[in-house]
Amino acid sequence: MVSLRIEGLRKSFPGVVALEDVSLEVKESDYVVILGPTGAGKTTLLRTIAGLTKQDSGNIYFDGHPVDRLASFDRGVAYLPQNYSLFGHMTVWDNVAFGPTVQDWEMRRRDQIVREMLNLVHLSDRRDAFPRELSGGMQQRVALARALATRARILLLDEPLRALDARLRMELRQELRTLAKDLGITTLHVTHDQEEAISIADQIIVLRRGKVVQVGSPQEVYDTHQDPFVANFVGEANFFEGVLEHSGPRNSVVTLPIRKQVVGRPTDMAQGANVVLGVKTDRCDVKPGHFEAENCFPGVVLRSLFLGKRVTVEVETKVGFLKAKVPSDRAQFASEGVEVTLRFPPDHAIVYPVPVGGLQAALEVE
Amino acid sequence: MPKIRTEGVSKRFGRIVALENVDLEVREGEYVAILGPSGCGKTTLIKIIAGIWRPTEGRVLVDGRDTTRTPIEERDLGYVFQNIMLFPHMSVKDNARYGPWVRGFRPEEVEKASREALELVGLLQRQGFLPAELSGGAQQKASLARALANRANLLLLDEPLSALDARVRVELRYTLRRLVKDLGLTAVHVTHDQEEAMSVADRVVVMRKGRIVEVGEPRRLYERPRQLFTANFVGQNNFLEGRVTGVRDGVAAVELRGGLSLILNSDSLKPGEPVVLAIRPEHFALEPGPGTNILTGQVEETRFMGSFTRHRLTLENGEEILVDLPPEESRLKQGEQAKVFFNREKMLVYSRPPEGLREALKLE
Amino acid sequence: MVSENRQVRGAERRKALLAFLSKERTIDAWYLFVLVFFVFLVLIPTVFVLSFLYTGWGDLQTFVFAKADVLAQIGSAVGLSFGVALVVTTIDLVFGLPLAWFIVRRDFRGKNLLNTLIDSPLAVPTAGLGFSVALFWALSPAVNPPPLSLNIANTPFVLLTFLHFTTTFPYMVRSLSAILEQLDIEYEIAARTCGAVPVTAARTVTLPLFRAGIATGAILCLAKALSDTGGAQAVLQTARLFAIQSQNCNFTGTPSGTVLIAAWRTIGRACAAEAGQLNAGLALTAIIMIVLSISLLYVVNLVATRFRFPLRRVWPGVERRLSYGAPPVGRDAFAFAFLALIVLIPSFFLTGYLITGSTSLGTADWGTFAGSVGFSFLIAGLATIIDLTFGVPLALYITRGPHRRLGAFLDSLVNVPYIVPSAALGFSLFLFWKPLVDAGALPVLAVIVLAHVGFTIPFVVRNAVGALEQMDPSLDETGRTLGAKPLQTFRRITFPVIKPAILAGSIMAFTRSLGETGATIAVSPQAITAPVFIVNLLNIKTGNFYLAALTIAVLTIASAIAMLGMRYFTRGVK
Repeated sequence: MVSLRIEGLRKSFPGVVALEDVSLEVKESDYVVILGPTGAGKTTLLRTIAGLTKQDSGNIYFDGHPVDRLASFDRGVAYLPQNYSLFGHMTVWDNVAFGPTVQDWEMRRRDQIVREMLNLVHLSDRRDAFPRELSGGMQQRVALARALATRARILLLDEPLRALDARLRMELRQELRTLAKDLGITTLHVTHDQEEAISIADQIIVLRRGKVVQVGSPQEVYDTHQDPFVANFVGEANFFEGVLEHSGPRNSVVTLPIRKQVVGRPTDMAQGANVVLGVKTDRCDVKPGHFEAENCFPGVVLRSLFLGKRVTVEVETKVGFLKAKVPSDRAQFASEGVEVTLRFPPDHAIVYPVPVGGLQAALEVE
Repeated sequence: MPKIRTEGVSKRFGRIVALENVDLEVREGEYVAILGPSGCGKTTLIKIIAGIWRPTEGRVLVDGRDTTRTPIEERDLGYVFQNIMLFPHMSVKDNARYGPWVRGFRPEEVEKASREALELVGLLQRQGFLPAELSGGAQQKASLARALANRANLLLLDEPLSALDARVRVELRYTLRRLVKDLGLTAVHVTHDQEEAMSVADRVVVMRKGRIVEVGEPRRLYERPRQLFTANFVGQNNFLEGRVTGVRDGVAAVELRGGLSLILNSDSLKPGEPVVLAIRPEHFALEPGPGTNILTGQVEETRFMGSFTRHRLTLENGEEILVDLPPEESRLKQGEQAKVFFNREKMLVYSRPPEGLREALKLE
Repeated sequence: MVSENRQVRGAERRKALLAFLSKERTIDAWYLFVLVFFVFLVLIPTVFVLSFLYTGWGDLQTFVFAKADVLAQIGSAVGLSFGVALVVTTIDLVFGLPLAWFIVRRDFRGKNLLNTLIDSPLAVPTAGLGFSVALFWALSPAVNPPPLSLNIANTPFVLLTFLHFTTTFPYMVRSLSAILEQLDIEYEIAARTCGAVPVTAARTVTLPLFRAGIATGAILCLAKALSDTGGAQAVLQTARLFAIQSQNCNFTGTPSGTVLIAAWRTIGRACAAEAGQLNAGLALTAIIMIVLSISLLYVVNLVATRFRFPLRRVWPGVERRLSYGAPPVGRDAFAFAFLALIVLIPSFFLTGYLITGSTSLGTADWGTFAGSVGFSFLIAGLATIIDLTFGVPLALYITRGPHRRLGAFLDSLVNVPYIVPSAALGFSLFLFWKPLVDAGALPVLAVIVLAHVGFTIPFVVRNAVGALEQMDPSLDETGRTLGAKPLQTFRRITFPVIKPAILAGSIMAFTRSLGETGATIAVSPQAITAPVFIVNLLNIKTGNFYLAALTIAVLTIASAIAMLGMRYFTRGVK
């Protein structure tokens, strides 16, 4: 299995820059998720790695060897497009056997791998079925088996779960990861769903408008967001705009326009700079009644949205609408119209410079 | 009088039974979500309510009147499609004013209705755009404006958010709930996403294979689902099969495979009864508390999930459970033996399904 | 040991061949070859006659521009052709639209039967349609018509209009249905949920989205009506409104543009002295028809894409009344009446003649009969094979080639030999290849086949392009990532998917070639294919109408079998 390195990849289409100076590294056998909104360039990135689209500039290396001159069929990547692209006129068996067949494998070896793959995805009993007779989840598994039967070095999954029901996705995403890990295959999995990314990735690469915004483990991307976009895209965040009062070794203090101060993690920005303080909604808490303390915002519950494990409470405060995602059994009291105070610990509040173009533009998802 | 009532509605396509004997009531001003996996009949049901399809059997009453045979255009409703279906050759503004315009309203009325609708969804600035020039979320908002401009009291939404990115869906959920409640509309919203259903609806109708499985408020469905399928489909659950060994003073003892034993509150179980127990992953704790049961297992995997950490444990009897703990409290490491505690009040019990547990929980 | 070595070497050679064929350079060379074939053997010869304006300017001056009567003949013939074509297309649209709507939007048993009925006139060679229509509508046809005929038309314009309803209506209904099928019905439903009655929804939402279908249908009908020679000649001769008198080196009556070309070519064979005069006249007629038809193609496209449907006003009351009850039923009834009375019955009226007509075959020339039928099949077969060999790669280049703009341009060029009237195309090819043919280096058969390729290759290319565009491009790409080289991708993935469409296209090409008259005569009046045989027989002085009817029947049955076969192979394929 193989490591992947990309340097300075650039690709434009008429009127739009799809990839801008994208560089990344994927270790052997890692399961990496490329996370970003639609239009971020994720599919273009995968297609370039697969050799289906030619980049304008930049290099791609598999295990240190450049592959830019190699055609698709010589690169040894298994590419799974969004709609699976199963060959409708062939049975499940023939679909999975396609790669080894066109690569002229010896018949016995080919049959063995097809059997192995069908076993792996639990579809041995449907080998003679046609794709149209199978459910969505089964079709995806056939596509996976087909891609893996070529003993490819790298697996590229383009939003593999998009076409499936929400509940089904939760089950199948684990299966994907387990399969990839069992085979030890280096995997790049593209998605717009941050919950999906966090639950199965070794590393997450956040992509937005053709640029890499942050790279890190799920925990790093979630807790140590380097950018308001990441803070709000992976999960949800509250933001406060103000002026950096001072920053010390233990915390930093930001003064808001309403003369209130909030406390967050230390930062190395200059005193007096215009900053944004962001804190994840699930690090925020609501308590009944009004009171003042560090990082406390009294207000009135506008509405609460029940999510099962948690409840999102929308509170109207003096600084605008704030949200808190709290465990449902602790938020029973927070119904419409009730007076509450929203607060958050300074440890989880991160300070950034005000983004170029303004905060609203930086948070835009589409 | 309920706003909508379906009586014994069935729909067959050749030999395929899409809906079977569905009785549903939606009250005026209610936001109802119809939730279920693909193929459960939810889209068929909403199309029948809208009049796009006719039921094979049964009837539909809106505001007390039988509308089963009323053509679509004579009904008073707004409809939002899964595939958006904005008229591609018309601007956002022309799409929004379409309803009032074809009904022959006066020009000032047409203008007013479309402007108000576009303002509600925040698209007034972009009303000159063509649909193709907008993002997915904006397109769906435009489609919502078109539905609202009809000034109807009833809003029907057929998987309105399914085609959108996950993050965009979260934003639009707020918008939908806010608009429906502010305008005092009655809404029926079809979806396969249980989190979406619970966050927007006053009441959720769970469907499977053409039938209604259970109806209830989101919180009740989550905390006390009455059906096994609901317990699995709404949120995630751990299921353990066992047999009742004894019942005394409202407390029952259940023996699981491999001799593990749990207790729960019940006054209706009988000894020897085969049951399935359900405990949600977030109900476990590392400290004992009131009414606790204990389970011991080996931690196979620990996974950071953002708001919580998920642990996969293999119990002594070989079965697997998921344990979710808040990030600050999860000290468990992979490979170690762990004791987890949970309150027996949070545990749910169901009769063992005759077709087997796997079949009863199947999502496809 | 030895055989193993040979096997290994064989496999290695196969691999090497595959690698060679998959190289970018090889594929590029192949595409270049196909391109050169199309441009130099089909496209350029088609418009070659335009060069006559330069090379034959002297002749044109002397023989045509100086003679008012010749100019008048050309003018009225061309005017007749275009006038009829425009009227027919417009009326086809009026009746075709409700019929197409009915077929696509309603679910009823017998849909297949209805579709087959609508397509059935396509099985009859146009000469046969001409004869049949004349029997039904002409005021005083050359033979006694079977009972139940209407016999009320006696001007060329009216007769040709009635003829072309039968030749073009199936194309209109097919094009409209194809596009309507692809249009998502949910747009109309969305309109109705907003309160629009069906008529308003159709007018304001579906119709504007439907332009492509209307444009395609209009172009196909115009092309067919302009191009037809055999049908026009048959109907005019049978109605006694036209006759070629080779002995006088002239004709009587008013021909359409393509019939004029055929007539002058036929006369030219007998009257060598008039060759210069006739060729000049032929050239000018061909030039005018080519230029006008190509212009028409672009005008129709322009109008279809720019036309602004009236979307300013609604009339809720009126449109509501039109949507329910009697009006829609009446509209559909009229459409069906048109189909039955104006298209189907006149098309097949000659069966009545076959049954009741005088069976005296007289001195039937069975030898020429058999020979002509065989000759037609030979030409059609050769043309179809060439169509497939070059048309499919051309389609691949248009849809999957490296230069998309060039591909799109080629796509529009493929329409040219189709819209150019086939008689003009034939004459142009005749002039182009004349030097080689006169020198004996190229057989006339080859030129005839090339002419037939010209107007039939668009069927194969159109269908293949359509299927390729509908096909998910990621299927090919997935094949590539799995290790399939381009040739393997084509053989195992692309071809099986587009096979039904290619089959349909080649059958359409085959039957089209079988029924062609004008191009064959224009290239060589001596070449007696079955339709030429028929048209020659439909001659009141020297002809044999019954034998003509029999020949028509034979061709119709052959085409019908081919078309039913096509239905069978493409069933269940969306």
